[in-house]
Amino acid sequence: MKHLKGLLFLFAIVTFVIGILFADLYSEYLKPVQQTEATHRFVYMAPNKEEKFWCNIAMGIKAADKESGSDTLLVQYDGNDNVPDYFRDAILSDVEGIIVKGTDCMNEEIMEAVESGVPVVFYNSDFPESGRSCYIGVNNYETGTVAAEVLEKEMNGEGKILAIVRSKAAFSQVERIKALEDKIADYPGMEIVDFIEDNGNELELKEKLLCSLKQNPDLDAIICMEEVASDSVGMLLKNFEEDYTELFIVTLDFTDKTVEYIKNGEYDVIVMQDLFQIGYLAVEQLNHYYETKGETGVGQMEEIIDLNNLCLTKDNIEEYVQKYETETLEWNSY
Amino acid sequence: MRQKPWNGTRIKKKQNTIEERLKQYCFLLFTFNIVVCVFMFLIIGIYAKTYNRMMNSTYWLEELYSEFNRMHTATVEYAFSEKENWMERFEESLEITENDLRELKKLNIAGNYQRNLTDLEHLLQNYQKRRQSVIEIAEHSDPESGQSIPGYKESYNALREVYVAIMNKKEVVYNELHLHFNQQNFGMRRKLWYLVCAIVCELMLGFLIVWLNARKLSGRITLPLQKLTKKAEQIEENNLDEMDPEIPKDIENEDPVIEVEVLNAAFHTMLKKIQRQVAELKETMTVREQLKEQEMENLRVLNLLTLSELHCLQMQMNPHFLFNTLNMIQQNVYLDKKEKTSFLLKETAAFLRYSLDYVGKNVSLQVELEALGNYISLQEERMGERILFEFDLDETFNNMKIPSLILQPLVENSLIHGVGDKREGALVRICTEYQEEEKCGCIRIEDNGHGMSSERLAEIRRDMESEELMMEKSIGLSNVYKRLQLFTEGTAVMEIESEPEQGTTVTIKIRYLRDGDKNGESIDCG
Repeated sequence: MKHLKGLLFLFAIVTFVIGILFADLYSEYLKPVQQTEATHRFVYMAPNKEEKFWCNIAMGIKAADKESGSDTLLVQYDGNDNVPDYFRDAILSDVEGIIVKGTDCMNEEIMEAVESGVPVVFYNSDFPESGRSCYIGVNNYETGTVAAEVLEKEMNGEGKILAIVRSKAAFSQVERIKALEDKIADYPGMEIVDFIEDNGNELELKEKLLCSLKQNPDLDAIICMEEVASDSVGMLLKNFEEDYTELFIVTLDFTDKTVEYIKNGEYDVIVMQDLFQIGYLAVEQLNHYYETKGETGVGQMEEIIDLNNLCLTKDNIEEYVQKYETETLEWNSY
Repeated sequence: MRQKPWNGTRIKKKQNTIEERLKQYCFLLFTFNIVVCVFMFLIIGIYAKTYNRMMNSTYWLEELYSEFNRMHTATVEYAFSEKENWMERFEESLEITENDLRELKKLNIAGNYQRNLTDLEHLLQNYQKRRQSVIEIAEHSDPESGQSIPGYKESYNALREVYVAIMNKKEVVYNELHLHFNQQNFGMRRKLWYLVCAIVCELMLGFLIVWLNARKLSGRITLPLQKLTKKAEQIEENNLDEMDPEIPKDIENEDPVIEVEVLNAAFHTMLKKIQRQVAELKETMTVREQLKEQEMENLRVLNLLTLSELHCLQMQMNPHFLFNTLNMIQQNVYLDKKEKTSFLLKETAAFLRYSLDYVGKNVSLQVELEALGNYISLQEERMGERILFEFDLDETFNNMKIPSLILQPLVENSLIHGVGDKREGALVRICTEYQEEEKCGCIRIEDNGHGMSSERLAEIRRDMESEELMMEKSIGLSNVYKRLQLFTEGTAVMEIESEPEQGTTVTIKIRYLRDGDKNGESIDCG
């Protein structure tokens, strides 16, 4: 009789568990979801949904969406040539705001959007002539200054620096280079021995880097001021015959590779903008635009929002990375 | 209001009937089946619903775009021909498209699905707006003029732009659906696998419970009945005495249902009663048999006595004895031997008196010897000097009680079968002796007559022991022996020793404690 009672109890428990499993199944797959209409519909366009850089911005966007009730579609565009098409599709879909990396290739489309009442927010790079409504990012000059200060601190005001840029003429590079030069000038013991322009080409970078390293055997630091260099320099230095582990390397790009280099100790500092804040502030600005538009008839948003630079080293990079790796992002696939 | 007292036992008893137990069992089985069926239906329902949703969503999307294409074709055709049927077709397709869009929006799909549908909705709205421009321009133009319609190309391009955007959206939505259903299938399959495992465990548990319950039920109903049946079979095999009348402990421990309990109790009570009654019957029969035996014994004794009486009477009436005695008396009367005659008459009367008075009774040895003396006197007179009677008597146990008329038949036998035809020197010795060691009185009648062969002796001994009352010549010995056995309850011994031409000795031994030897014991058959 005891066995029977025990079995009945077990039966009841298993039935209860099965009930819970069914309930879970139902709520996850079958229960009608309360469709709440979003307050506003925005679009965020990024070139690569796999990279942390764009994902961290997207996380900031989603956090702001949760708070404000807006809905921002995450769109990955494959190749810059397709950006105008996605842009146009977004406008035709009556979206109420577009967040896109600063570009000077779509001035016409941007103007069309703004004229039809769709504000456009640039991030990371700014092109004021494009007609964008707002720019969120770091002041390039400020970035260069912070990078120089990091170098000065590490080198105690003395040492030789190699700077790698895409092109000295590129808009975002100009300000950074200027800031670097201005700051370094304050420290007579420090010298920028060379500027390498890789034009975004890894092979070109490799040749010029090797050449420069041979020419400057007593080099103390390298600063990577563009993405290709940030991703490639670490690997190149490892493959060179000489040992360059003593070099102090600063990068201005937050990518999967630079994060890895920092963790492994190959790089020393990443000077970057707070990506989460970029996304968060972008949505915040767009919502603010519509709030003010509702009240006054004219939408308002700040034209430029300068973010502070972050310095990520081996000590704090793990914390930063983990902070923003909690959510799974849903990207629109084209 | 008067409240009935709580009777947990009664309730428990009510629940322990076959009907209640079967109801419980059926309920359990029913519940178990229902639970399993519900779960199976739910699983099938989930699968069916998911499959339906997947098929429907694909269908709706395809239909939406198919109708949208028809819409676009209808728009273009109308713009060129302005035929009303194209407008109607457009309206039809628009309605279907909007319907499909509504259905697609109802689907519970997370991610960008809903957002993409909203964008699609807006695109369709924009399409309609731009279509309107195109239609208006087309309607206000004169196709027969042959000139290009101003603004038509731009508006058509604008319409086409939206058309392309809508078509692009199809792939996105389709991919979303595809991704969603893949993920859903994967996730559902995993969860359904857990569910199926849980349900299988439930099934096994359920079977175990049902089986245990059935076993319990069997233990409560069929097992006790089987044991009862076996016991009933034992009765049939007449093993009543070996059967245990108590209800077996293992049946009690099984907590049988009330009906079986009652049946068991009634059966065992009945068994006890039957066993008791059988025992009583047996006892009664034993007693009856004993009584019967006693009666038979009594009858035999009575017969013996009757025969003894007969014998005595016979003897008394024995023509030879009387003839001889009377003849003797007549001779003495003839010879005028008055004294002798008087003596003979007196002895005869005394002996006849003894025979009449003491037949069937017990007398002392002394009295018996006196009567014997009377008989011997008559025989001495008859036989004269041919015979000598000797007496060797131990008077210390003359008080010993013996049945009457046991010595005279022995002496008579000696005279008739032993020394009767001897011309001279016949001797009959009568001895009494108390044997101290054996504590018994011994009476011996011996003669020096012809004796008997061993066969004859064996025959006589057999006759003595025989239960049958013989009316033959040895009736005297048999009668004497049997009366002695009756009197002494089988303790007396009567031995006959004889050899051909050596004479015969009959010895009677009776246990007797003389007055001086008694320790509170006495054998008194008076």
